[in-house]
Amino acid sequence: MTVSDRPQAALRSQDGPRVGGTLRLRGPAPVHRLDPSASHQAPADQVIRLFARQLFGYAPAPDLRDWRAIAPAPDLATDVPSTYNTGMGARHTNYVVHLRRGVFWDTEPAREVTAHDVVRGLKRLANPLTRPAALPYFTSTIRGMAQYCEDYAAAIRRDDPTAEELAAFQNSHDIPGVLVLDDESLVIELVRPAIDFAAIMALPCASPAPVEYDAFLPGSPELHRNLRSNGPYRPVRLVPGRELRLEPNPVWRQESDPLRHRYLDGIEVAVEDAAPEHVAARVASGAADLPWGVRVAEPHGAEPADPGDGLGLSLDPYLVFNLRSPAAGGALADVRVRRALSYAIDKAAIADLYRRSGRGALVRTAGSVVPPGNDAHQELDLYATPGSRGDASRCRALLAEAGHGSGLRSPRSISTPAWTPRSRARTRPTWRRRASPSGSWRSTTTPATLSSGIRAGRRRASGTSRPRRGRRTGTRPTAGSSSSRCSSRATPATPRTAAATAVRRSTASSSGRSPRSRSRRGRPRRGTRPSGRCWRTPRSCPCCSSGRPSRACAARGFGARSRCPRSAMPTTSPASGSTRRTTRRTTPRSDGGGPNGGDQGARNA
Amino acid sequence: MTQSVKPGERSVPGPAATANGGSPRRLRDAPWESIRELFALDPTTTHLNTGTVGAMPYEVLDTMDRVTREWTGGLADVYKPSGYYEHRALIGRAFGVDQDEIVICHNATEGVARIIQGLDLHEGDEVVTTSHECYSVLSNFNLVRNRYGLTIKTLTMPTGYDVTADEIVELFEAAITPRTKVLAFAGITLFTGTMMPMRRLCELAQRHGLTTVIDGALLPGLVNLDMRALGADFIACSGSKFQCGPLGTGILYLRNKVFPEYNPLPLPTFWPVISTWYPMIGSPPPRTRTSVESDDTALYVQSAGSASIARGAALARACEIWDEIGRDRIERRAMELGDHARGRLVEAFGKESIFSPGEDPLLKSPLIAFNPFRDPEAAWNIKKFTAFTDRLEREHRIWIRWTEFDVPGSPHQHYAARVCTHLFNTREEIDQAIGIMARLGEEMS
Repeated sequence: MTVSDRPQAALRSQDGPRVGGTLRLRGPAPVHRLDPSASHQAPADQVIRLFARQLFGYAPAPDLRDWRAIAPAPDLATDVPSTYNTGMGARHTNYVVHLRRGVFWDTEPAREVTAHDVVRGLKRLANPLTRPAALPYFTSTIRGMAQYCEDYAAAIRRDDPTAEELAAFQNSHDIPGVLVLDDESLVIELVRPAIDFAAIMALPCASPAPVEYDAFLPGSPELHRNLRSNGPYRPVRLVPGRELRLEPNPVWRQESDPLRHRYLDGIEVAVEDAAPEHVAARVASGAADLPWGVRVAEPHGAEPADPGDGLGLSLDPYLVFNLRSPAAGGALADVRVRRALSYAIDKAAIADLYRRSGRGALVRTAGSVVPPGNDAHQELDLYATPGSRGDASRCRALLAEAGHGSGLRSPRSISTPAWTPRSRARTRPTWRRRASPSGSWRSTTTPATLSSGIRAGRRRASGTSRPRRGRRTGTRPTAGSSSSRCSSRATPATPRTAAATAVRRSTASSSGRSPRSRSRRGRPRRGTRPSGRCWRTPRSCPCCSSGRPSRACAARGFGARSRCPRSAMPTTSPASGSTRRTTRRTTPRSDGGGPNGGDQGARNA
Repeated sequence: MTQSVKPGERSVPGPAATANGGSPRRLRDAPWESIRELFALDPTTTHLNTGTVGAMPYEVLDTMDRVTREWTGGLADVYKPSGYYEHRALIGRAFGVDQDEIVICHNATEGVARIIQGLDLHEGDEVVTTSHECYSVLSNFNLVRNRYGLTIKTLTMPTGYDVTADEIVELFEAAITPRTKVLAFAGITLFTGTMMPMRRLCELAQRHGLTTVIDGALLPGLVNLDMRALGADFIACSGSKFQCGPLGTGILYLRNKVFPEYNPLPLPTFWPVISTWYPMIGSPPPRTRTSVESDDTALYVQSAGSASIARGAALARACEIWDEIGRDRIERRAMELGDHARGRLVEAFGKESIFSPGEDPLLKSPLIAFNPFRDPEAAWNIKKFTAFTDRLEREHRIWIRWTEFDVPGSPHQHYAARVCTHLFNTREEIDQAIGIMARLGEEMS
């Protein structure tokens, strides 16, 4: 029985949420895997929060402009540690976390979630097979986590390690900055104060893991058949990329979960390759209850174009260039080349494409990396151009001045996804350096646009919250309904590829070469991603000229098919990759294509 | 019509006087057993936590109660007595300074906040302090950092039995730069009970032309303090800890005249941020450059609407009793008991378990922080310390507290049990309490 085929009177209590029935989510976002430690993608994270709880989370808020909607709240933890509750010392680098009692895994017999499970979850993040894209948050924040990752990768040299080998490493090596005091308490030490630490630990990939997971490879089909739940629901069926069903977890107790409720008999996700308007029509007709992975309405009724109206802005997309790249004779080390790049970008075009993609309610061009509403934001645009359209003549002039009058070949860049937690952007006074676990490169960031709306980095954990009455097309914070990001299959070009195109067009015009001629010269090999799109895999590393990145190298922090670990040089980027839909759809790999797989990779493709 | 009570005007017979058959008491010569009877102590508990809050003498309680009743429902002008003129003069005398340099405030936190917010700091200025300061100090400095764009340089204090004053002074000296404007430190640190080399640090500050701010929460009532001779610019104190006044009382010292033998620097610019009587038009007179004040600066800070007349009177009474007993005598007594406790703790747990200085006599105080567990790594485990102090209180009626602090070179937050001795404690109860702690620590190890 579904929500919509129940009698209306039975669906709703007098003034409360709908009770009973199955919530049907329909939309274009595939769910390939649910292993929390391997996942950092929207909208799957929405589902993960239903069965895998974190130390901290976000309370459902009726109005997302309420500051509490983005303030981490205790979930498995009894408190968010602070100096006021003696959870943090004056140095702000030691967090004492006490676990809530009465939270159980749906094991047989049911077993209480312990501090050891939290530590196991953190250790699994470092496994060399399925590291999530959010791993650098942890390696750059938790003391000893980066070294743990390196040691883990060094210890697991085989391409096909067994679950026993991984478990053996995890159970015999500790993260120095994570100390278990007893079953109910642990200390997490940071390398430096990080006021967004609770937000990091609220990510689904930071979920505790039960000891049963030691028997399975991370992200593997076997693990997905044996997922354990400590939340209100538990997955009972997953057809990767196609459908998913969750049903109530019998050992979950409302009194030990301050953030979630359980009103439904089930939650069902069916992936449909449909445009937003089609999804909206299905919801309106009653064929679906909520959209999945696509935005069909504004998240709130206020004026979405006003950045001060609550949700704020995030820097997305932006381009990151490796200043240490030896490409083009190390051209990016020259400030004139970097300025030329700034003038080469048609930000307005990117913003327009991004706007039309339906991803954000508000899109503005950006002149600096820190968005309005954040610490350290300044209204400045050092390389402003009329209408933010770029300035090809100034670009050419600067390139000529720098000795590249005949053009510059493809400076590599990494497009950056929207998965930076918004709270991080809000609270960090300076933009956080994105680095590999070993942190070996220097970057500069070129802001492209600012966008608003509920995004992956902003969505709140509330799959159990109230489906909104009378507004079935709304993207309220309900299961899987609030993210709208991974719809590139339904759109001809993603903003990032558009950004790449804009860059290529500009640099091409400055060099007198067409993008086509250059792409022919590059002639990338292509592989097929789980999502059905292509990635580019180079014959050799463009930085160190050695062979294709090895798995061992990749395990140090980057997926073998996404970036070269030796230089953190992207091998897939909007500037060099391409987006092309293929008709062939393959079975997902167990590792999902590396840390940039899934949704993140899809955007980069 | 009610009147404010002038301290010292009336003779209040206390338990000591009664014990002596009603004759005028002579607290200066009274044995400690008799003096202990002055205090409203629960006979079933062992109070070794004066660093958090002291035990009030009965007379202080009586004064608080009497003055509250005298003023309740009266129609008298409450504003003049809210200036605490006589009380400030009396307290100032006890600490070697004048009325125009003393403020009675609500607690050390309020005092230190009003100092820090009143400093004349600007963008680019630098403050040197330590991570062992009270939260209220670090919080207020961070506030002015955010407000004005300062740099707060936070030093990690050395800990352990062998720490020396030289180490501490050198640490501060190395941190001073041409941008440094303020040196801020605790008189006695609340986490490890380190008696800071205050005079030496003030001299260091003077050599660099710096303003000195001392969090003196634990000083009055314990140290026979000559505030002027310290040479500091500001000292914020608690009235309810070692001074044993009512909760919600504090003493604030602001240097308001120049005595070159103690501090030859000009008076620092200071903005009394909460004030009724700061001039409503124009500016106060220029600050004096001599030993004669040009203004009652303390009054600007003192005048903040109506105040609790009873609390001021009770604090003044506590100071009077201290003066009667003799502040030098009290300091000797508390320090002797502290040394006794330190010796017992070393016997029970070993020197390596003590986080407070014990070798350098300059740094010793009667606040002693230690790890009661066999495993040194237990010092990272907050739960052991909360359980330890809870069990002492619940099972043995021994009242101490746990503290937290960082240690140079260690990534771990450290925790310690802290005992404090004061004039009303006895060697016997200290011995008994530490014996219990040793057994409990062993059991919990």
